[in-house]
Amino acid sequence: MMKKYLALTMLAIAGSANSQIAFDPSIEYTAVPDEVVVPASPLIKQVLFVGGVDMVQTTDTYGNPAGQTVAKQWHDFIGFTPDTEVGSNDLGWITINHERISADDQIGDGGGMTVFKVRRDPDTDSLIIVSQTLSDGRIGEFFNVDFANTVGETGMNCGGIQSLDGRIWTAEEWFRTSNGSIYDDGAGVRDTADYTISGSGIAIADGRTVKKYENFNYMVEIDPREAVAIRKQYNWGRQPFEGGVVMPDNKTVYLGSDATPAFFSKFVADQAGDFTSGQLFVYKHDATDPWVALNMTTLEDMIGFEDQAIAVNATMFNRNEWVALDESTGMVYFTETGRDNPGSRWADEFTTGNPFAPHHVERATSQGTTPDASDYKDYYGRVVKFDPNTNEVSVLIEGGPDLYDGASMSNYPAVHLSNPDGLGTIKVNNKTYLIIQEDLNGTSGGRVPNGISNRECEMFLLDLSIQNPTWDDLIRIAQVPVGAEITGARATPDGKTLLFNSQHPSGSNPYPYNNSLTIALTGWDKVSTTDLTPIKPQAEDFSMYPNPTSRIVRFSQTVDLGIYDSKGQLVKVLRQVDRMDVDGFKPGVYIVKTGEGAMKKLIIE
Amino acid sequence: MKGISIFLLLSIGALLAFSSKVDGIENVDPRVNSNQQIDQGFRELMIAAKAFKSASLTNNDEEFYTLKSRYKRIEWLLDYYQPEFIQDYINGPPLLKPERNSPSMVIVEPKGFQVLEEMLMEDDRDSANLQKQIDLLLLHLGELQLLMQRTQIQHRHVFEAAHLEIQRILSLGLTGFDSPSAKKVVEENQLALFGVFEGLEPYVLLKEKLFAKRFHKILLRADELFSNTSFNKFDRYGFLLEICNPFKDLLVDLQDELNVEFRELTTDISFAVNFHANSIFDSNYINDDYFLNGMTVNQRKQWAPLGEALFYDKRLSADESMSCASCHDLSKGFADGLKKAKGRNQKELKRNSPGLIHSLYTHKFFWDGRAHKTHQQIEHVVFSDDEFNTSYMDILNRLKTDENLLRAFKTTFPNQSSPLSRHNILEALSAYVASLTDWNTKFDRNARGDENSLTHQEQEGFNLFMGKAQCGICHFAPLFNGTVPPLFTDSETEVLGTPSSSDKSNAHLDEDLGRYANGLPKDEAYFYKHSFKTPSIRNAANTAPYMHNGVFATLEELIDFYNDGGGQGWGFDVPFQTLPSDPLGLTEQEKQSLIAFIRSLSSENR
Repeated sequence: MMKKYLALTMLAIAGSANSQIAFDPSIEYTAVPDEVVVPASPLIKQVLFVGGVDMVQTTDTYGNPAGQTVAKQWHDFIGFTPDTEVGSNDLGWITINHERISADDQIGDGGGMTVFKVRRDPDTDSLIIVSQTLSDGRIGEFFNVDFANTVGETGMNCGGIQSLDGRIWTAEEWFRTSNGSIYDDGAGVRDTADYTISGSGIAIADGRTVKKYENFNYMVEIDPREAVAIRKQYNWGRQPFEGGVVMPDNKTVYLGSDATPAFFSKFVADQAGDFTSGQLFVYKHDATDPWVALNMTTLEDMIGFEDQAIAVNATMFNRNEWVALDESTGMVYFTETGRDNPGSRWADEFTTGNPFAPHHVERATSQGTTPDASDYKDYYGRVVKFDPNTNEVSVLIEGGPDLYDGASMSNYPAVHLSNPDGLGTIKVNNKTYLIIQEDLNGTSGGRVPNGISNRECEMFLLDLSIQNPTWDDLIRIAQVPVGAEITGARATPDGKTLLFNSQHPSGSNPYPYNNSLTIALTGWDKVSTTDLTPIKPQAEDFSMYPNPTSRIVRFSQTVDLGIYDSKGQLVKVLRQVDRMDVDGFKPGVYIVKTGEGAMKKLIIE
Repeated sequence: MKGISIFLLLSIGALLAFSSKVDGIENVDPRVNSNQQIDQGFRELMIAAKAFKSASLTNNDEEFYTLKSRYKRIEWLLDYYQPEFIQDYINGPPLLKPERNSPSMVIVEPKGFQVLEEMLMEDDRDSANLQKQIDLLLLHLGELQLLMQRTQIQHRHVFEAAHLEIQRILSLGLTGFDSPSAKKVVEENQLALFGVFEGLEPYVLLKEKLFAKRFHKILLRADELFSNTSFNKFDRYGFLLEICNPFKDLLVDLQDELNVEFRELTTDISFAVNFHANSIFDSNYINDDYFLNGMTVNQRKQWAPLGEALFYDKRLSADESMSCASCHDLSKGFADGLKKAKGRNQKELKRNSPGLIHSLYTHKFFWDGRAHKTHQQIEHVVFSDDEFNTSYMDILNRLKTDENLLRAFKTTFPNQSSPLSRHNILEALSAYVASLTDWNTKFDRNARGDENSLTHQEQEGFNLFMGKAQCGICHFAPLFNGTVPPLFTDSETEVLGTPSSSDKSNAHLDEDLGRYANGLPKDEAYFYKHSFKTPSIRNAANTAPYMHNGVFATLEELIDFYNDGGGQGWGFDVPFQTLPSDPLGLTEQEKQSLIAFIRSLSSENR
């Protein structure tokens, strides 16, 4: 047997000459005439606020005097409130959500928020944090938003709402069903006595006493100028809130809540700017009037929001997250992050009459099943568009490509949109882009490249003027490992800066990587929209097209690449790619060699 | 020799058939072989799946094991490309779990081979549920086939998949982890191993002068090891030394020789396994940076000395009575020798102090798993009323007048405006604790072939640990804790039914709810009641007493408890016990061998 085995070996080797298995570990560095330059990014990165390091000013809480302490971590939502005061040189207030619940004698238990004010440096355009004195006497740069002494502690402060005039609401996620789950063995919210609501200005709520956990899971308005909470929005229902938008009429609010089934709701205030009275509706796409008014007679009606939504047979979505508004068109967008196998989560409600959002029926049909069945897969989620004029929902862009729906996986798709979560907008040269942030539910089905063991999340821009956008229209601007999700993307009103939270700003000094950071990316006014338009190269030969803003170099072909440094040492190998992200590369000269042997010089500035 | 001949015949036959069809250079692209293995493997798998589906629900064991063996043959590729899909739908543990990344508590029912195997073991089969599970398995196998058809194999992937499968076979396969009945463990893992050999053969052929002999020797030895044996008799130590080590060694050399890029050239994302290591017990087998949460190995080295100083600094506690070392004593394996730790004013705390050596290699800290990073772990101690009872502001105030310490912070964290900060205290302490690793125990040195001093009793102990005594199904080699190979992406907790007292006649189930009550909403699932982190058995010999409540004073008492089948074996009502309740039937001699093996994993220089 051994003999035969070896004989065959010889035969096989004979034909193997130069199989393209590998790139040589080093090459002789020769002059490569063909050179491509990636100019330095026009965007400047600045760390504004470091959770766990920066000090926040606190109020008199739980009998502890006002003072300062270390800011909470786990940043999520970002709000921006412009300073419109005449004569003020300041830009405005930035609010940051802290989503994790923890006990804290000075900040107050629960989640939390930090607020600080910024000014723009007239020479460099960078942001400067401004010292403030608040009317309660607190002086400093970073301020803890006082919830404990105002509206009661908050739960996980995840998403939120920023109105056009800069009012801020923070959303309390993870639906609470008992005091035990907020108490957290003394590490969460320690005061679990019944809570008496006061000062909300909402008639059905004030004076009522509820179980402590029933005072969680609301949208909570805060005053960023004074760093105090104003009210829990009891009249918007008790929901596992994630996001929302206030419409330009300053009366209508669209709300996103994270559950399966998720219900899409709307609040319309009686008077513009006063959200203490008004009517709450839930969306039912198949009704003549798709907005069904909910009963709001007592606080219990609002605590029982979900029961009401089920009872009126509202339309079911699969985990709605953040909501965004395109001011120029008035269109509302929300992320539906998806759930791998939602079937059992909404089968009961379907049986009792709640319809599925039409795109779920369509999707299930293409899978040869129904949304309530156990084999229905909603792996990748989507971004949904809601048209307030027609009251219709449609899919703006599906997550994917969907491997189960015949998409080709001949190689891992360069762009794959999975489980979109955070959503915002930014205007670049008067063109509105949607900012989409992922929070992966898993790694299967192509959500991460082959052989990667952990989740990674990406942030994309999408030009909203594109009709029927595809995955190729997504412009990737960041990618981070799990635990370092990019959250809260928010543009300043002057369009110069994109604010976001991360735990690991790539390409910069890693300190202080292990904390939540609020980062400002400034210079968007110097970016032209053509810089953002993804090039779709068509050249015959291998050629490269750099985009300095996204730090992506696109290729004219799908290739295997070996990248050598200026000493001729192999530093990177990429297989079957049509683009590369140069963000992690040190500036310098590189030689790019394809599997076919074509060579080009790449200069990264 | 029977097994090996069939194997070679098969693979040579396949290769010949292929060579005659295609001309040109691609005909020796070894990836084609892996693709064929997947195609052919799935063809056979689907035939077996249909046979299983049409077999009688009361008598389908044979069809089940045929199907599972078809799966095992291509497991190395499937599990490399779709590890999460396989966990979720094909071959995950038969246990309830909370849904990943869910916005509220949602319980997911287990599916796949292991659930089915448990159902087949029942005397009274639930045929409706059995049919449902069979249908689901077929559905998901079909989906997996689709995913695999859309996968493009790279040379690097083949090598990495082979490395990972060797680890999988050692710690999940041969231990019976993925086989509730343990009936076909030897056969299934032989197939899994030979599947890997099949996929690597074409690469060996490309460099046959250098590698064919080494490869062949491994094949022959594997054939011998897997012949005439059984689950209890299988020589796992021999498998480690004579198959795992030489084969991993060959893989590293071959990948290098062929210039197939190693992982670090392709991505900056850290990965737990180092594919340059030629033994699972090499000191560099685990990439420590994967567990360092952003800290680099170099930073750990720079920061650890300051961390060590802080570790002994009592100013971290409010009344300056306690430091980390109060409960983590170097001379006691960084534990304290007490049943339960003593906090402030000598108050007894809730649980036993764990040792710290190798504590880096986990995704869950504390017995109840409430912290996921060392930073969080430290903070729980700092804030706890019964422990340091302080705040960062107070700590900073106590430390800021110490000029020497300030200098140390400045040198350790240069170029920072205020080096003495909450963040840097945590970084330094984390760096120190994370530096407490030891890959140079007697067992490590022997297991990677550096020396040959392991006694027969110690070898026997390893074989029992990984086989009959079922320790290895929770304490996974090579970390021997609950961090699950081969990807090490998760750390498990277990429900053992730990008693309140070591006196069996007077004991009841310990009341501590463990993970269920750890305060994390996502852990508040009923089956996590009394669930506790699986600590490493490395250094266990130095860290008595044992369990979260220190109930067992000696390893002997501890092993007796497992031997009895845990809490269920002691007659407690433990509905979600994850430890099998059947007695293990260990002899006194076998127990002593286990202890000898555990001792061989003790740090010698600490």
